[in-house]
Amino acid sequence: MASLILIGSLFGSGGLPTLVCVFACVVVAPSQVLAQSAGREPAGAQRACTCSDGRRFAIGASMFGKNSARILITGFHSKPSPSAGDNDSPPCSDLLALGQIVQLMQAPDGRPFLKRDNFKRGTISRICDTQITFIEPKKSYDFFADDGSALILSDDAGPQAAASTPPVEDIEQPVDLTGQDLLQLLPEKNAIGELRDTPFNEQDLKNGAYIIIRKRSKARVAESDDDSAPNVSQNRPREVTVPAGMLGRIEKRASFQSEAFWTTEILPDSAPRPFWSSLLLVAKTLVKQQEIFGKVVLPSSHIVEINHFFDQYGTDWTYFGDSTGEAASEQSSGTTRLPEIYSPSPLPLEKNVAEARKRHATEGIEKAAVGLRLVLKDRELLAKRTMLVLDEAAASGAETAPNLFRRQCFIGFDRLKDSQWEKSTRPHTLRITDADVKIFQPKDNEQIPSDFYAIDLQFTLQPDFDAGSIPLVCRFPLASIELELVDSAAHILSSKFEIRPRDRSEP
Amino acid sequence: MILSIGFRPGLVSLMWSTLALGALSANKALALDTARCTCADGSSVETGGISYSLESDRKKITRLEGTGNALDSRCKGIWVHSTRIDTRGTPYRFFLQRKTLGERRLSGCEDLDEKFVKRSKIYNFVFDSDSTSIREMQPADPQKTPHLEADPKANSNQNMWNAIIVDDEPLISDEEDEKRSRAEFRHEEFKRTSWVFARRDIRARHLGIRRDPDQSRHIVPMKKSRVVEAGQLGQIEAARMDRAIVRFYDGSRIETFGRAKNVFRRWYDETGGPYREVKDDLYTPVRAYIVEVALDDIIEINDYFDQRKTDRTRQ
Repeated sequence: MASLILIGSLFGSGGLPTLVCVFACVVVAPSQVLAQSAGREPAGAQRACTCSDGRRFAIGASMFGKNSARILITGFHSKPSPSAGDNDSPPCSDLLALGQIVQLMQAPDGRPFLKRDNFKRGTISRICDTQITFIEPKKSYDFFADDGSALILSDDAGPQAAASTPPVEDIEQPVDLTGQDLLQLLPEKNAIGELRDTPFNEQDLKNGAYIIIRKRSKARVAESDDDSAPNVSQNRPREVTVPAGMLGRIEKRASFQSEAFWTTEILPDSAPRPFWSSLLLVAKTLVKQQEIFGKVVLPSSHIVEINHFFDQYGTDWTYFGDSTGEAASEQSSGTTRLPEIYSPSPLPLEKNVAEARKRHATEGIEKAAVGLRLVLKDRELLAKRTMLVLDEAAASGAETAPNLFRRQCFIGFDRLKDSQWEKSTRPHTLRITDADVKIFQPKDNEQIPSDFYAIDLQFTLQPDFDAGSIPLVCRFPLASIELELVDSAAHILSSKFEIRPRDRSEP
Repeated sequence: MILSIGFRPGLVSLMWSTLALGALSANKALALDTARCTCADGSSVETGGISYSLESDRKKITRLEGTGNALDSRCKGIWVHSTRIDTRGTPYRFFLQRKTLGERRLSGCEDLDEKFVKRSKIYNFVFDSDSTSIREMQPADPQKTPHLEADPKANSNQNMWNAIIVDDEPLISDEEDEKRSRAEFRHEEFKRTSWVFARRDIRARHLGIRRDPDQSRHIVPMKKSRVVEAGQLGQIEAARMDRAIVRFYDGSRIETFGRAKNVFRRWYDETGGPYREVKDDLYTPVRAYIVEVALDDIIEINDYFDQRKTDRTRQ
């Protein structure tokens, strides 16, 4: 699941997704994204690694702790496995993880909002030697199926875990929030310390978790703990209408019927009023407003743990956080942050190489490339016997000059030896017999920064005719050393060659 | 220059040496025009070198004075010509005007506070030249790997938070460092805020920012696209090796490429209707749209002015 914000909505009116502008084209459906080039996995897709005991760790999987804190997998290092097929998940080595916390904050006007912070980023080393497990995200929320007044969500994977199976009892002691003002429960210093002793599990809905109401519905006002004496006075209603978008915090599990029910403290005034409700304010003196306050009992299907909401909308705060601190700064920055997203700083060379070693990228590239066969589309290229330069950006493989800042491939046809190849009538096939990853650092070139480098994928091509081997170099300026470079090389070469997989009969 | 004192006895020898010394001292004193000269730090400067700053403001080295011989000339004087790009008109309809700020002489490389480069990145490709296999490179210091810090068997979901070994790098990276790197690696003429125009009719895609499950953000092309007409002015939002995100401004097409046919529309645009100023480092969001284009499809505005020998996009 990934959020998507339309660029162009970043200036003008507001910008970041909120409950109000969700339907105003700021956030658009992922289906509007142009499909990635064929055969390539979109960035951030469900890439995963596995352990020999069957545990699987997918990027984006998370585990939940106290107060909606969570640990998320952001990447992994894997070990090369000779037995793994092309489509198998690689064996895990280390996990890259991000620890996030959610805090209840107050806007300048006193209204509450929730804010998520990235608190701890690091590595869980040798994950397969640990007893740690993660679950992959199963729920998919369709915030766009609007009924006109509410956020309607649907579970793609059927009833959520909490509903289909009895919830796992938290080991932590439930926090009794009865009678407390949640707005005063701002994070304490030791709250972070508590996370060290907090178990993390797959249950997102649990005691202390922050939630957002996803469906306008009538909810039963919570009764007291012992279920004997109602905790409501005679003049208070037994049922209240809770609008969509309200925030709350789970106090405890109330019951389990067809699905789990939760006693939830609703944060008053935590969502903007719907338009029609604002109009009714004019007649406030005539119509007695039904205030939402206190605790209500809500089914799992009517609430969403707040991290899912943040993930869906690609934001880290709820509505009233828009005018505060970091959020306001992000909004006012307009499009000035585009460069860092569009063209992030390239990895320093040492780090790039170290990361590649950790990921065993060279071995992966060699494994993916050796054996591939390049079938020439145009036999005349051989006759020219000059070095062929292909450019990723050049249209239909038009020949171009070597350029330091372009992704290009160089094929040494000028090194062809005299042979009988010209008499052959069948298509010429060149097989990759060797692959290496090299670092190109031009000397004495003042037109480029001193720390400029390029990654060279160097292949040896063996023709199916007797003409000696041909060198092929695909040069990627400032690229990360990763397996995807083989795809990029194939893409550049595809203008002049048909790329065929290795012959199965080959060793 | 060889001094021959003592080699040839007599008056001829003395005359030769006097001439040689005179020539040498004259060479030191006189700074001659040269196409290339060397700075004290070893870097070199060439005539035609260009430095771009924000909004396509440009400095160009027009003349160099150097001492010494043609092969090893020390920079003595650097003549820099500066121009600025101004917008004229209303946000609904405007044109660009290049203003010359004049030429000034810098007394040496010490006064050069910008890097002047040639635009071409063409080079001579040679197999196996200037490249090293990473198999031959020394591995990084193993001390930095976190594997030895704790027994992984003790880690479980009960103490998962502690199991994360924090990276050395801060969560918030050094922004100044990032800005420096990004600016350095980009094509000089396509910096953020540089003025460009579409060299032909382009079908360009709108863009979205996607946050992936790993919380990283990416820019992705959308299915929605539109035609950018040839001559449409825009400003670079962000650029990378071969593509750029450009904010194009409707109603500000270069006149030679065409003009609005609707007279009423033209009148309205000229008057400049009400609009709200927003905090932005680019010109204006009024009637602007942001799309991604190939760098080959756009031209930096100074190049247009140079080629057309003009300083305005509208006469």
